[in-house]
Amino acid sequence: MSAAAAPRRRSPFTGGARIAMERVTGFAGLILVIALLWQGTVWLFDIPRYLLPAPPAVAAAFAGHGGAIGGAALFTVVCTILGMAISLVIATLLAVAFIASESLSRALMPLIVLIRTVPMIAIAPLIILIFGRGPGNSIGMVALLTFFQIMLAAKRGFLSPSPNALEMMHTYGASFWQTQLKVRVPFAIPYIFTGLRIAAASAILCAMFAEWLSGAPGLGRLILDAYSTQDFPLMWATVLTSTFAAYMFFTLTLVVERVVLDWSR
Amino acid sequence: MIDIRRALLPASVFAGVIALVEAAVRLDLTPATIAAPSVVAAALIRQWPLLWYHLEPTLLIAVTGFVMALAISLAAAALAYVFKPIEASLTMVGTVLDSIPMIAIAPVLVIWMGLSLPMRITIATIICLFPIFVAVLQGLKSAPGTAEELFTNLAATPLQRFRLLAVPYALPYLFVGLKIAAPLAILGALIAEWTGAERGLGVYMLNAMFSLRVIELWAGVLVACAVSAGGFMIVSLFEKLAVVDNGHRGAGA
Repeated sequence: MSAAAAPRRRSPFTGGARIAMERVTGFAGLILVIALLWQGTVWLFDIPRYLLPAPPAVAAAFAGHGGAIGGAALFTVVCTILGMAISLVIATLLAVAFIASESLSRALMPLIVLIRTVPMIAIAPLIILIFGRGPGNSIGMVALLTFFQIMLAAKRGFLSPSPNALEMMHTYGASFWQTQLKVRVPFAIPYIFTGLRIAAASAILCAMFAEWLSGAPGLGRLILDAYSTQDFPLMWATVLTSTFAAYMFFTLTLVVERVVLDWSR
Repeated sequence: MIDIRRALLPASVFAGVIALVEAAVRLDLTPATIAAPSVVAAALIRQWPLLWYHLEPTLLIAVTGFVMALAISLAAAALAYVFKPIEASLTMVGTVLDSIPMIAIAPVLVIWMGLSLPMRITIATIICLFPIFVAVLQGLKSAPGTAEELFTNLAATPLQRFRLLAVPYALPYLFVGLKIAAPLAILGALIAEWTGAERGLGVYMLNAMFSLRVIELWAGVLVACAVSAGGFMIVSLFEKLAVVDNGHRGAGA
């Protein structure tokens, strides 16, 4: 561990842990404030239960259906992580290919920019037809949605080293892969994380969409099920869980980025 | 303007991919869920009246939602510009609203507003709101410090400062937000229709999906893609006009 090698330096995990703590506390605080306002509104205007169930009812739904919510959340999160991992690998490799071949980049980039203007969720029905109704569909949706953002970010990152650094590698007769690993990859890491961060927030929502339409057993279907059985406390509990999951997913990318940056410093 | 020679290479790659898919389908190499491009094109032409019947409400929802989101964002951002202290809380509310999954908002809106046109427009509005708001807010703050100082030295009134300094500098940012929001408006309309409607492009797509009509689904998806790319291009066109009108002032941002 680098902490042992340089005793005066902090462990690379402290910065990440602090960010995680801060963001979780912030979220909890916000939820508390909203819950109080919510309860107040329900009391004040005497809102019927089917329009807006009071926080205690939602909390009871959490307790009563904890297993179902947890299982659904796990399914969605695992699908999202798998989809993003696949997309990260393919996108980074393709970005490297674009760096290596100017003509490939010229041939494909305009098409990619064009495709990127299309919101990926709009083609969800097609993806469901192709990938079937299981987890494969959620994974495929997430991979497709995040692919372009990560690819463009990675490409920008690989292009970001200063010409001086690249010239130096050239002067020393470094091979293509040496230049990639020693110069381009370190320069690209912050860019790739920016791409991941932008993609992360939408990725989990996208996975939920896929489940919503396909019926795979994740958070998206749980919301729909709760809605169709008029179990509104459960629906709100699931909505809360999904918001939290999306928020935590975003936080996760922040934390990992911090850890990687602290590590490499 | 599009450079013909630069467009030639990607266009030929595109044509090559289409030809490959066509050949693969003809040779029975693909799963049944991939439709031959020629068949899809034929279906697009044959089914156009039906597609247009379904596209109409989708376009109406998307355009109305987009315009409403623009109006609300401009008003909120102007408010935040005038009353600086509320800026942080407005952004906070926006972030929270934006991080609530649309799939979660949709059923709630259905409960509150019923399966109605206003409900669908609300969904399209919500989905467009945040990107535009953030862009405008950032743009209104983007004037360089030297220009701010000049306005102070010349004793500009707050209105002059807003009209002659903040707004011109905000325009390029506004268009960045609008370009993100235009395809999102179409998406919002589709999502709204997926929650339940009797007419709309989203309904058409779902019906085709559930009854495994592969060709019709491809046609519907193509139309959705074309419409959202079209929205993007229309905004880009307006951007060109506005930036020319804006002259050198916009170029500084």
